[in-house]
This record gives sequence, structure tokens and C-alpha cells, in this order.
Amino acid sequence: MPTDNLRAVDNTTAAGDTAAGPAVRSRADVRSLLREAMLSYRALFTWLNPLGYLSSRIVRPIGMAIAFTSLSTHYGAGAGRMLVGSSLLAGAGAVVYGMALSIGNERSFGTLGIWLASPQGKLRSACLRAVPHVVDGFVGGLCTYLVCCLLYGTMPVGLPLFAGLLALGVVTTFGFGLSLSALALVVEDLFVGPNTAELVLMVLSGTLVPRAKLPGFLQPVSDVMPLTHVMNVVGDELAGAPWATSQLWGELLVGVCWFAASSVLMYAAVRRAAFRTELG
Amino acid sequence: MSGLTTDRTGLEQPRLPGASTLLRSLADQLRMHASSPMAVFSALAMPCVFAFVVHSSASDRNATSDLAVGSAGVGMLDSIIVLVVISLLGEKQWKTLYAALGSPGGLVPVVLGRLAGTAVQSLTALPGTLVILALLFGVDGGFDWARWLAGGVLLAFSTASVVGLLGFAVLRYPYSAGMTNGLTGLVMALSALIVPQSALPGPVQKLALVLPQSHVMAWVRGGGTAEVLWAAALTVVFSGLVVLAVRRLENMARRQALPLEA
Amino acid sequence: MSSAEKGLRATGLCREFAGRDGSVRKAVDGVDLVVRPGELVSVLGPNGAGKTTTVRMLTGLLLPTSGSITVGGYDMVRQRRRAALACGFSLGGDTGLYPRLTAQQNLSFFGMMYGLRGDRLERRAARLLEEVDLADRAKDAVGSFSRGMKQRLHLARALLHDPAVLILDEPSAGLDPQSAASMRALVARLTGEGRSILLTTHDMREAEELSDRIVLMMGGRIRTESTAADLRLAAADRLGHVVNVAFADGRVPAELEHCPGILGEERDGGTVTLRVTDGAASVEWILKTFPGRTTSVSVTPPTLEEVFLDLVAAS
Repeated sequence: MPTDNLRAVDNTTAAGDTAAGPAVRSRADVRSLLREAMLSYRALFTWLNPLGYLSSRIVRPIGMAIAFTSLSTHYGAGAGRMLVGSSLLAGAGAVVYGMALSIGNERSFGTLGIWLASPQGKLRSACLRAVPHVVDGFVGGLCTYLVCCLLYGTMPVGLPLFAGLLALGVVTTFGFGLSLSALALVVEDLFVGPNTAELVLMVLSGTLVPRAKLPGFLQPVSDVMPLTHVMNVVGDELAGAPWATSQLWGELLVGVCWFAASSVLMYAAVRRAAFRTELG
Repeated sequence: MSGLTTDRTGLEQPRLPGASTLLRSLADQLRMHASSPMAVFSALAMPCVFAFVVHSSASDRNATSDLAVGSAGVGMLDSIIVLVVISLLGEKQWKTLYAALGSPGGLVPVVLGRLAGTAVQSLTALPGTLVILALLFGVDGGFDWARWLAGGVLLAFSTASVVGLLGFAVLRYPYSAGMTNGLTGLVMALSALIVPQSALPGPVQKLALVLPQSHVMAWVRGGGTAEVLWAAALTVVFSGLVVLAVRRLENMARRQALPLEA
Repeated sequence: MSSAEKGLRATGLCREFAGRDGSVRKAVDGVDLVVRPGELVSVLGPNGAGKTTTVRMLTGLLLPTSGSITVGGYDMVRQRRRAALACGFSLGGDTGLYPRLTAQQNLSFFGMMYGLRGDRLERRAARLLEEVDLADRAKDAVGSFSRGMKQRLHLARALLHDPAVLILDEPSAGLDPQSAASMRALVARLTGEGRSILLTTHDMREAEELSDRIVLMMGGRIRTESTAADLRLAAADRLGHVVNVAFADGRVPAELEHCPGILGEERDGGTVTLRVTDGAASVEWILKTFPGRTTSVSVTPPTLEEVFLDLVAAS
């Protein structure tokens, strides 16, 4: 066992960092942030193995999409809207579950206290941990769309448009998902938050149930849910009508508002956690 | 004199140790998890949302027996998966499987008891969803109560038999809980719970025949006795596969020191 | 800034919990505690004494109902970020680590929580793994580690950001004797580096061997605080001294029972262990009464464990 002093912290790299140019430093910072995001994904998720990933991120959304698209075709509504909606929902679902569990699983591993006690900014950390799930959501949504298109022999909207809408959808869901990260600090049952959120998205995001078919009092609620405005664009596209760019801005605004509200919730949840006895 | 080490009056061996363990395991499953928030949530909330989606696709529909059983089936599937994972992971975490492995009946009665317990527990989805569907959409005049009840019960046990294979995976592989998520989507699609089998895409239709649930649903939708027999036979086959898988697990634990703990 | 302020200081620390019936329970009630740089203080107490709640407040995991905590000169409530950087803690146990990550990855991830980055972090993690004898397991998933290895990794994690104050909750619990000894040696070394260390333990030997001072908590309050030697000496008035005598002819004389102040005796062949009220007087009497018949006579105050049990029973 070495016997030199443990307090002698190695500063050579820090000096080296200072000597390097700003571009090199920022590249190193980005690399470091990405490594942190990836380590959080690897540390906190049990599905990070080929079978687990395939099961959680690919098979599940495809199965759900098949069930819903078949429902639509069975009642004569055509596959288009439900196929696109299910695929967008697949992407959003991955973000919602990922962001909730990226904090909630800390409790499972008994590391929540260490994270809360660390000086790291909790909002920044939760956002960083969301990055792999946003990417995941995009990949999962795209796979679901492509597989279902093959199964049903139709591609309701062009791939570039779908990819763009999916990207926007997962980013706005990130704002919504942040509220679930905060909720995971409050609710001890790991899956209650994301499961409820997924059901809420199923009903209110316009993906599976068109906004017009919701009861009147739920329609304004639907307007402030992620994916609703994206689904409006999809509806226009499927109807062959030109879609308005304002819908995209509206979607983005929904995401920003959720992010702002969730940030406040996160702050409150972190404060509340310090008043509790057991953090796991 | 009777002491702790000499009094054997209470230690008489039951004639069927496996059967009593199975019943004990079933009762424990209900006692420990019957009121867990996730179990109630899975059994009631999820099927109601599915029913709402079905209703919005076919807005003229009242709650028919197939819609009621199919919606409940979604809840059964979700809650059985959740409960099997929670229950068996709990056994691994508390290291209680070693005691079962050392007992005369081994692991099989414990695992089967847990599965039967989850099936019984998931039956709450049947009346639970019906009440909500009736309130939301009203009950259809031609509601077939016999098929609703018999089909619902058969669906719960057939689902538990299929999910039993997942139970084996949870016991066998570390970090397997993450692998379980796919099962909900896959089995939901293949079970023809919310649409008839004929409405599924071609390749999926053929795969659906392998699952007992699709035959149960075919019977609920007006099928003949053959569908029930198929469903029962496939449930027995899946249960047999679960028993074989757990027996294999016992051998691996004894021969290769496979850890039965998390 | 005084040396106490650079270390760990808690003043009037209280923590109340509300019961479901509306009652209020004081888990910690007015605790004052100082650990100076280079000092190791052990907190002992029976279960439910308030040790864990105190540790959680000192580490910033739990807010106090009242009172103040300064760590490395920073207020744990008002200057939390700076105080957290000055404080390292290990709560030990089988959890608190990411089982799917390797030991090196665990330290990297935790290091990032403390603002460490890049090669510097990786080098620091590698160095600490070497220190805790886990270098050869650096690339193994922590899920496969034994309890002892996890305890050592907990300690390495606590040291990642080189904190001035270290709070260790039962660091050697569940370890085999060899691992426990090696853990004690490492903790002793860390004190030698000028860190302030607060240790909670149920192992009296560990507390006696490592501590500069011992704090005994009961019912949420500090019952007594002193060095181990002073605690034992002070308790000798109540518990008596232990006198060990060995007789040359291998026989313990019967007259020994007339030893003044004798409270009890235990014979083993030619040796006897007496518990007496006044050690010095008893030794003097033995040497006078049995001249030339004894090969060794020693007197010791009660053990720390006896002191602890006595104080717990008294309260």
C-alpha cells in the first residue's frame, strides 16, 4: 500500500488545462460533460445491455404501436395518424421514463443522499442526465415508425418531416420530463410518476386521441401538453393541408414553459429532501 | 420435558409439502402486495386509459363484454408483470430463495404460488375496469356476463403462465428487471386484447396464435369451445415450461453455485 | 479563523421529527461538538441515541431544526456548496455505490458530482484505488465486490475531493479482522494528514485505538466527552480497577479473599483477576501479604466497553 500523503492532490492537469487554448478547453469540457451523461446512464439503468435495450427501448414501443395502429385500422380510421402518434409517443415515453428514473434510481442504489449532499447543481445535473434519454427517445421513436411502416405497408409522412417532428417532440418532452425528475425526489414509488405521465400523454397529447375527441374541459389541458402541437402538424400533413410554422413555435413554447415550471419544482423538491429522515 | 429442540409435535410433515408451500406462497403474495400502489395503478388506471383510446376510435361503442375483458386484460398483463418482477426481485434481495431451495419442494411451489397470487390479484382489474367503463360509456345491451366472468378469469391465469417465463429470467439473470419492459408491449400486441386477431398485421397474426390470451379473447368475442380448449392447453404448456425452467434454475444453483440473490 | 473553525463545529444542534399523531420527537437535542484539524473524535452510543441523525446533519443530508454547523469554516446551511466541498463522508454499507459501474467509473462519476474533471479526476481515482488496495479490481463491476471492498471504496469516494473534514459512519462494520485492522490503519493515517475526522462506531477497541476524544451520546444528547483514558479512569471510581496477579508456585492463596475493597475475583490456574475499588491499595496489600510469591501484578482501569455499558445502564 502506498504511504505518501493523500492530501497531495495532483495538479499537473489543471496547470495543463490553463495552458491550453479556449477551444481545446471547451472541447475537453464537452467531452467531460458527455462522459458524465453516459456514466449516469450506465450507472442508473439496468436496461443498458443488448437484450435489455432491445426489450425496453425497441420492442415495447413497437408492440404498443402495433396494438394502437391495429385499433385504428379495425375501426376504419386508417393507419396514418395512429401510426405517427404511437411512434411520437414511443419517443416521448423513453424521455419520460428515463428522466424520472435518472433521479429515482439513485434512491434504489442508496446513492441519493450522496448526490443531494454534493455541491453539484441539481438542475444542471438532472438536465445532463436527460441527454442520453432524449437521444434514446429519438432512436426509439424512429425505429418504431420505420418498423410499423414496414408492417402496415405505408409511410404516412415523409421520413425527414417525421424525424424533425420527433426531434422537436422529444426536446419539448424533456421540459415535461424534468418535472418527473423532481417528482422522483418526492414520491418514493419509482414507477408511479412515469407510468402516470405516460398515461396522461396517451390521453392528452393528441397522439392516440385527437384533441377534438376529448371532452371540452380537457381540450385546453391538451394544448399545454408536449406533442399536441406536433400532432396538429401531423393532422394537417395527413389531410394534405399546409401546416403552420406557428404550431412548431407553439410546441417549443410548451416545452420552455414546462422547463421553467419543472425547474421551480426541482428547487422545491431538493429543499424538501433535506427535511426528511431517510433518503435511501 | 419438552424443549425447543425436543418438541416435535408441531413438525409433522404434510402429505403434500409442495402444495402447502404453493398455497402459503400465494397467500403471502396477496398479503404483501395486494394493496401496493403500483399493483392498483396497473390493474385499474392503465386499462381505463386503453378503453378511453378504444372508445375515441369507435365512439359509438358502449362497454361490451369483449371491450371489458380486453381492457381488463391490459391491466392484468401490466399488473402481473409488475408484481412478478417486484415479488421475485424482493425474494432475491432478501435472500429468501435459499430457504426455498433447501426445502423438500424446492423453488417450484414458491414460484408457482407467487404466479398464482399475481393472477388472483390481477382479477381486481375485471370488476374495477367494468365499473369505470360502465360509468364512462354505459353497458351494452348484449353484454355477455358469462363470457366476461369466465373469460376474465381464464385470461388472468393464462397471462400469469406466460409471464412466468419472465419470472424465470428475473431469477436467472442479474439486472434483468430492465429486460422486462418489452414484454408488456409485445404480449399486448400479440394477445389481441383491444382488437380482434384479424385486425393485426399479417406476421403478428400468426405469432398471436402461440399465446393463450389471444384464444381467450377469441372466445370472449363469440368463439366456440375449441378456443377455450386451445387457451387452456396453451396455459398448461406455458406453466409446464415455467416448471421446467425453474427446475433448471435449481440445478444451476446447486451445481454451478448460481447466486439466487440480488 | 481558529483551528476549530477550520475543522468541524456543531453548536446547539437540534433536530425534531413530527410523528403521525402530531407529537414532536427530539432525535437530537442541543449537541455541541468540535473536531479540530488533525483530530479524530469518535461518537459512541446505543442504537437510537441520535448518532445517525447527527451525522446526517453534519454531512448536509438533513437540515437541523436549530443550531449551526460549520465545516472547514463554512456554514453547512447558508454556504452549503462550499461546506460540501470541505466535507467528505462515508455512510458505508452494501448500498451507496453503483453496482453496474466499475470501481474506477464509480469514483469518476462521484468525482464529477464534486466538480472534478478530466485526466486529473481519473488520476485521483486511480491513486485512491491504490490507497485502498483496490487497484487490481479497478475495472471490475462493483456489484461483484465483497462488503470489505465496498467499505474501502466508500472511503476512497469520500476522499475524492480531498476534504478537510471526514465523517465516517461505522467504516469497519462487517469487515473481517484483517480488513478492519487495515481500515483502522488507513483512518489513522488520514488523521495524521491534518484532517478532522468524526467517526461513529460500535467497536470500542476501534474507538479507543483511533480517537483523540470520545463522545458518548444517549437520548439525543451528549452524555459525556473525554479521552478514552480519562473516561476509563473516571469510571474506575464506580466500577473499580482490575488487578491481575500471577503466583510463582501456580497456586492462588485462599487469603486473597481478604484483599481490601475486593468486589469479585476470577481464578485461572496460578493467576487471578480481581475487581477492586482501589487498585493502588490492593496492589500494595498483595505485595505486602504475599512477599516474593507473585511473578507479576498489574492494575488497569475498567475497559471502555465496561464504561460504555455502565453509562448506558445508568441512564
